[in-house]
This record gives sequence, structure tokens and C-alpha cells, in this order.
Amino acid sequence: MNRRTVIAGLGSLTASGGLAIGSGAFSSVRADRTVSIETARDSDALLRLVERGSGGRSQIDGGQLEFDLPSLEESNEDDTNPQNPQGLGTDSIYRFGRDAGASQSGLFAVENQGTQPVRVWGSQAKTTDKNGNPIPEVGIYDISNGDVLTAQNRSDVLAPGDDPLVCGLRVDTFGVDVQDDDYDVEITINALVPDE
Amino acid sequence: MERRKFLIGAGSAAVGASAVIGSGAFSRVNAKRTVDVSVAGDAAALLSLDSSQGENSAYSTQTGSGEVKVDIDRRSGEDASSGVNPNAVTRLFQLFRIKNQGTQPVVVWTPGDSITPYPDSEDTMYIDPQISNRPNGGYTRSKPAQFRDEVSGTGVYNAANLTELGDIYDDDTYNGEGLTEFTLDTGESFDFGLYVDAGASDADTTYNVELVASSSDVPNDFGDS
Repeated sequence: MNRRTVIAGLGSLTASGGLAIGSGAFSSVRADRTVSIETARDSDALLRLVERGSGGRSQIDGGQLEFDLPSLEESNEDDTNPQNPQGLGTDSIYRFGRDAGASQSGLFAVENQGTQPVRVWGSQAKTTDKNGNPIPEVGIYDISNGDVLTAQNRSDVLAPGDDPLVCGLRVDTFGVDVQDDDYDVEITINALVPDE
Repeated sequence: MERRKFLIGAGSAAVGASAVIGSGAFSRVNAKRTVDVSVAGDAAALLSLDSSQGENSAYSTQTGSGEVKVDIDRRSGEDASSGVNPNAVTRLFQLFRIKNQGTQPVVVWTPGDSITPYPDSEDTMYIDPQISNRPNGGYTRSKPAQFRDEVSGTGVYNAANLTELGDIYDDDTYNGEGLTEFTLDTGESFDFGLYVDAGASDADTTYNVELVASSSDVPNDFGDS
């Protein structure tokens, strides 16, 4: 941008013949501008979420990270877990720090592919089903120090380009009924600029 | 281009209004007048849209024709393709800076009909322009879900169908001061951002967001205090 353009712009309502119109007053401007938004798979997105291990407890399905606890492979015969567990016990607290049969630690990892540093935590909007009965409470924790990451206790700052934040899941089944069907639990992974 | 048309239109009107006709009778006058119109790039225009300013300006660029374009895909200067997470809400503030480089205060806002209505379905993407770092008005954060002073550029929360400026910001939802919140005095600026709810959609979507700056809508008491 050069100064000349500004002057020309400000004087754009000047007509020849000395009819000088007040400089730069504009009463209305309408401008259409383009906004393009691409949706990426979790593994490519601004907040990169990737599974760790291939035991099926964590996986990317339809572009989104999801979890099965225990994994289907674990509960079936002849797979990663010879004990074939059918579920988590009630009135318990579990921590899943790695996938079934995996040597690599962590169920999933969070990476910052945005432009600003963030702190990360998990939250769960609904802790009861539609009848008011408790469902499992699921939190995320930092594998490196065991800290459960909540709105009150967020992760260390995760800046663009930092090593991934490797996480596990903490599951609290207190008061949760034993049932054949899986509980569908929706958790939110939050990432926010620090000190807000 | 819309802005170009506007400038020509305004210039013509001004010439007409200023052409003082004397008392002499005449049946017809043909007077040729020249109107010089300079169209500047967005950053240098009367309503400046500057894609180099703001903490997330990496997602906005100036096109070859000088128009600001927001692209939540890749950061400028990088090859890696990316995008917002599916089934997630992403907020990107300060994508570009809006500055009044005219000589009068103006109200700057986004008509609701230029963006998508709030979706009936969770599958649909929803965007809402967010204005932050406003220099005027008495806004205080009132919703836990907001973490700065951001408000919808339409002036009303979840009112994408809003098209009348008279309706803007007319309740106490924001504890703000109505149009004053959206007013920029000469030389003042605020920042344009986006609230994006991707829903379950995996589509890549392009919106035309309309920005309007108008001096006639500035509150009468603006600048009194």
C-alpha cells in the first residue's frame, strides 16, 4: 500500500470543475467476502487427534476419534486378550493408559496444528441417561504425570509444533448399572488459548 | 465488484447534489463531468480489511484483486492441508482487522442473511461471524461459553436470519450498549473472527459473508461521553 492510493481513495468523490466533496466521508459500504471452511479428519485437523496402538480401544472411525472399552477385539475370543472381558466392573475407577496389547503408551494423542498455544482438557456434558440413571463418567488424563485434565486443571501449554500430548482415559463406574448394551458416552476434548 | 459499483454510484450522486443550478431558464444542459474513482485493496480502503493483522491472520489472505479471503484450510505459507475437526466447535478470533479509514464514525455489522441459518440438523455446518476487541460500548462477558468480548457480527446470538439493522443487539443478552458496540470512530478498529460448528458434516463449504459499514446508523449519542 502506498500513500498515493490512500489519497486517491479518500478523494475518490472529487469531481472535476472544482466540486470538491468532503474528503473521505462515506455513508455506506457493503462488501461481500469469501470464507472457506474445510473439515478435516481428526488426524489432519487443527486440533490433531490420533489413536495410539491398534488394539481397538481407540480408533479413528469416519474421520473421528472414538473409543471402545473394552475393545471388541478384547471381548472376542482368539484376540488380543485371552480373558475375553465383557465389560468394565461397576462401582470402580479404571484408567486406560494404553491400547489392548500395545507396547506404546497412551490411548490417543493431541497435537496442535493451529496457530496459537492451547491448554487441553476433557469434559462430559451428560453423566446420566434420559431416565436419570448414572452412566460412566469418562475423563482424559496426561500419561506423563497422571493428571486428570479438567476445566479446573488443564494440561500444560501445548504449542504448535510441540510434541503430542499423550493421553489415557479414566472411567468412573460408580452407581452404574450392569447392562448388556454398551453405554454411549460423549466426551468433549477442549483446547483453549491459555489464561482466558 | 460490489464496492466499485458503490463508489461510482456515490460519486455520481454527489456530483448531482452539488451542481447548483442558477436562476436562468434553460431547457437542457449537457455537462460532462469527470469522476475519478480509485479502488484500493481492502487493506487500504475506506473500510479497511487487513489480513495481516490479528493472532489468526494466518488463515486470511488478500487475493490478487485485493479482497480479503478467509480460508480455514491451511495457514498461509504452509503446504499442509488441514481444517476444523468434525463434530466440534472451533473458534478463531482475529482473522482480520476491520478499520474505519473514513472521516465519520460508522456501524459495521454482518447481515444475518449472508450466513447460514442455525441448522436444524447436527449434520450441517454452522458459522457465526464474531467481532472482538471492540473499542466502544460497555460489553461485559455474560456467558460462560464466551471467553473474550466476542459477539456475533449479526448483533444477536443465534439469529442468522436477522436482516434488519434495527433489530441488532436490542436485548440485554450481552449487557452491551446496542449499536455503540458495533461503532467504529475514525481510525478505530476491531477484529473479525468466526465461530464454526462443523456438525457431523465433512463437507468443505464456502460462504459469502457480507460486511456492511454505515454512517447513518451511528447512535446519536455516540462520542458524547
